[in-house]
Amino acid sequence: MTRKYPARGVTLLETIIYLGLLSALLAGLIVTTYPIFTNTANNMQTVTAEGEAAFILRKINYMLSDADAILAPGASGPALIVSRTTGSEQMTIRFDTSSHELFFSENFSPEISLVNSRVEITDFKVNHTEPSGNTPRLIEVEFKVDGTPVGPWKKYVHF
Amino acid sequence: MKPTIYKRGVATLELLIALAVGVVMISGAAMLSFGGQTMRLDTELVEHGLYRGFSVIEDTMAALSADWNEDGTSPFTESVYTASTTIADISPCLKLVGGGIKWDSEKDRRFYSGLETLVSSVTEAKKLGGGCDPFPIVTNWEKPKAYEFPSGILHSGSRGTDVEVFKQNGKRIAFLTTEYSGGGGANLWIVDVTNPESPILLSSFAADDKNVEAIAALQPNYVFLASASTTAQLQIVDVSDPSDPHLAGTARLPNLTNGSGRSIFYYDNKIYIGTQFVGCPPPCASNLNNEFHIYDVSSTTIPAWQASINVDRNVNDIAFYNGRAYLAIGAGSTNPFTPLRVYDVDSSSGTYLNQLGSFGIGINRQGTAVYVLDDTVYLGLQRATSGNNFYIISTEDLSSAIGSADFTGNNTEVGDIFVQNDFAFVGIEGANSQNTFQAWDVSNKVSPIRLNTCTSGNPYPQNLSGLEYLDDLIFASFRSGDALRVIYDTKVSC
Repeated sequence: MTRKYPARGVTLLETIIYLGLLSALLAGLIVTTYPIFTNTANNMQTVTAEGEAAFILRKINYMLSDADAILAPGASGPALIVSRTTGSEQMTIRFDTSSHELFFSENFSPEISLVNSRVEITDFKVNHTEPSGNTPRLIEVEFKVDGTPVGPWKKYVHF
Repeated sequence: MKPTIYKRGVATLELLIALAVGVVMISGAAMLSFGGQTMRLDTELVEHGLYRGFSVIEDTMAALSADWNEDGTSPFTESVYTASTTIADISPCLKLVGGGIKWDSEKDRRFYSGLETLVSSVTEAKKLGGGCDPFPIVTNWEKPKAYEFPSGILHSGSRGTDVEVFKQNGKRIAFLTTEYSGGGGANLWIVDVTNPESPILLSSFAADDKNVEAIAALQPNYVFLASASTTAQLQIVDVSDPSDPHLAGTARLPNLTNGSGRSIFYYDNKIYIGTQFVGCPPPCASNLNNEFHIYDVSSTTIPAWQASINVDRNVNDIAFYNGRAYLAIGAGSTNPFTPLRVYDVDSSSGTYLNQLGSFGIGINRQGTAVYVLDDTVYLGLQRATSGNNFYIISTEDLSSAIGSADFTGNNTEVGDIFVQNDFAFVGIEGANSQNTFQAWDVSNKVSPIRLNTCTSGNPYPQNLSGLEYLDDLIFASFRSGDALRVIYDTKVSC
């Protein structure tokens, strides 16, 4: 038995059309997948930044929970230093304005960086309002994480 | 057989299929991409909403520190967030603070985040003499029972009139007041109820041979007694050693020719004491028959009289709330009968000692018990054969009741009321055993619901005259049978 095959191949026009379609598909694929990858990276960065911000605030909340004196700031500044357990413990959170790093130390031990290096903290500021009448002492914290403002976060301290 | 050979392609169809596949892929990818953006947006909004919610709660707690009677704030807007706060009284020294944050995300998707916390006030508890349980009630109180009370602890003739309970040196001590019992020779009984199943009588006391009608406490060292005496209506007993109580001071209410004490309330170094109706046959100066008196008890040995009010009725019970005295009183002889009156007792106020309002009903019934919590008055009355004897009234509007209920039982009177969060505990004098102690759900103030409806047998003595809530237990005084019983919740549902 003899098999017969098409007598002619694809035309130039068909080839051009296929190439055009393929190009369109590839272009569409690139246009759509690129934002996906960049978005994924952005999402991860945002989630990391929010997580770091939450961690900083919880750390400060912990510092203030047993505080018996606020050693710094007097009114406003880039560091929070608290005394705990009637002066036998001291905790510090200090913002380095040049390196944009946040450092933490406990009981005068060497400072450790508090924040993931992938996240940039800027404009870290602690406001300290002395008690007035029956209104307790107020600590307000605000900063920017990757440019996004956080706060002012408030904590009234009773001691 | 020859195979069929197609000489023409299907390029158009293929093209359409390819385009459709491409559109589906691009659509999916676009959704994935934008979905990721939405997730990121929501993550940021939720986190920042929580920060604001936390700050709102902190602001409210600070406001309560400055003024314990602070109300919640109206909703206010910050950025895309709308915040609001609520404050509800659980007890006189405990509040439930709620902070709510809501915001609209893209495509009108609405979000809400709510935070709640309990705030207690040590200052307020001290002003109340320490008589303030700092925990909300969590059990259902649908089938409460009383512990058996061993016989012979109290003199059998003792008829209980009121009770106070507080902690002393780690022990839970009940201070029971009674009618003076000839055989026992006492009207104050001090009982260790640390183990409610095995109470121990520590001591008994009497300054005179009169009945003691009501008790208030300044923890942990003093109790104040409203005595039926006409010469020493206010008696202050030093109970710092509960096994050896002794009289610290007494006071005869001023300008009274008769009139015995029958109600008492302590708040912030002041004792508010009420008497039975004191007639004043003419000629009689208006200051000679006052039924309501205020004492400064900063010195517990020499109470200093400060002021009096001529209520012209029996003053059966007293509650203090926000600078005002709420008096459960005789209803009067003309319609509208007013079993509740409110007086300004804030000495810094321009209307000090003035009557600020009253609550009226269409029938002559005495107000016999009153409790005030969370801007709400809980008023108990006498009851003849029908009608309601429990009224719930707003402190802001005494003109009509928010809700009412019938405690049942003919010829009864409400002996005492205690309210904590959504529970009202009520003692009824004159009711049968199953109805003498009642627990009510007052979360819906319009239609309160009785909880312990499935009680059977004779669970309690009759005539519950006074009650106190502490440690999820009710300590109750009775004018019949055992004068003191401890009631607990079996946690069984009806």
